[in-house]
Amino acid sequence: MNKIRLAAICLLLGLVSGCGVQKAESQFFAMNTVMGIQAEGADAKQAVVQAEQYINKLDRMLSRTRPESEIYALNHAGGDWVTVSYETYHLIDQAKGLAMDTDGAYDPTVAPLTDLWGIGTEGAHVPQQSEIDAALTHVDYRNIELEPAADASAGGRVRLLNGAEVDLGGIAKGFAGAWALTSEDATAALLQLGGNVSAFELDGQAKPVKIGIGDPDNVAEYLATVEVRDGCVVTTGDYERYFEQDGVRYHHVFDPKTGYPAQSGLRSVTVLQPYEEGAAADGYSTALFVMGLERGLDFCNRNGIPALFITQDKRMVPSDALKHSSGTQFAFGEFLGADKGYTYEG
Amino acid sequence: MKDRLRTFRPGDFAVCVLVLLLAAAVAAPFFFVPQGALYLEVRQDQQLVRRVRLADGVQETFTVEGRAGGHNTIEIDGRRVRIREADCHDQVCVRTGWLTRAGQSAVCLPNRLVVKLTGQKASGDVDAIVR
Repeated sequence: MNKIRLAAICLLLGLVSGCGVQKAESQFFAMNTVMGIQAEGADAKQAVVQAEQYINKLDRMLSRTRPESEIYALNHAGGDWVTVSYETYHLIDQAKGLAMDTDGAYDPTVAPLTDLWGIGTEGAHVPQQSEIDAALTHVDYRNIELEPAADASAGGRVRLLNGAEVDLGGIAKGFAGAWALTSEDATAALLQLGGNVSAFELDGQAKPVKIGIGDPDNVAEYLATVEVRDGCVVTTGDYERYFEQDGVRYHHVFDPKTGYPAQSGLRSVTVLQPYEEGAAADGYSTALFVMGLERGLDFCNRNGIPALFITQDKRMVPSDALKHSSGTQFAFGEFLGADKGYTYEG
Repeated sequence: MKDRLRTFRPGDFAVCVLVLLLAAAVAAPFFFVPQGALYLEVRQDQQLVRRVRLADGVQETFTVEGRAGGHNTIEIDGRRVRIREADCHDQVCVRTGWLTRAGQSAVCLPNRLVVKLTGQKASGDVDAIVR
């Protein structure tokens, strides 16, 4: 009898105490965007502080514009070998791997094009063809050469041939999302890094996170939802950074083959990946946007990548892996675009 | 069974009631948040510069000056908010348009300004939006 009494009182006390779960959140600027982290767990405050510090550290290492960064040093080394830290080495290696996998549709060396077009800056303009051709001579991921250190945990050496420059901006946020929370201080977290969303879960107890897929014509709204457990969702679109000249929209996603913003008939591509594959999700979404619907869908279906394509002619097309993923880590939620003239081809 | 009930003395009952009352008192604020209360939060460089409770009929337009001399003009129209005008070159914040639900935000990176709606989410609302 005493045991029953004791159990009942413990249960009630548990209700009162809220079981010691802490919640914390923070919002800050890093990697040229705004970051938001919400976490819960035994010491969520500590987890959020550490995550913010880690993201700021990555930003200092990977920024293309900060003179103290490793990437800046590499880009200004005149083709010489440069020794870089483990994180930087690993991310350059992964960027090159993603470029190879996507046949150069994602390319971490497009920086000369980004600079030339100046999209998102006051100097945005359509360059002369001769200028584009000149910039393209430096754009090729095969110009990146890597040599791991004997001790793989120490990073390695990198050099850039033919005047190439590396810009990891396309995958750094995804990488940061995957590695910012490493301790067991947080058991569940939601990271919003720029337009990327990662849902972290340690113990399999958290509810799936419901994520809206932004409407290209009104980015505060969404056209569909997906549900994710311990995963990340990344969208690449033509609608956040662009300028218009003579009625044509020039956005920030370049086709490394043409030197122009990709004209692939898409408004956006959204990719879903496991939590720790944030950098891959970033690279894939860029590559798929450049490939366009047909090639992109084929790529996803061959590689089992869950993705959602939104086309200029208002079609919403899921890859096979998203269509058939119900009840697993990723699931398509609701289609809400009918009022806005979209059709869902699931 | 009778024996068991007999050992459950009035004092135990009082303890249970007390603990339940305590639990209810702790839980109450979570249940009695006014349904649909919506707040505008304006942050610059992570500092909260303005918090406004949104309600039908509230009309206000105000300008936030940035550290580097930039500015954003924010318009409140009842239960919706937008960045109406900004001097930044990319205009991403202005293009974001009207915010109407808790969790939505508009961001001006050049001026390091975040305009966010907070409050209780409706049951069908999403946790985040990718864009």
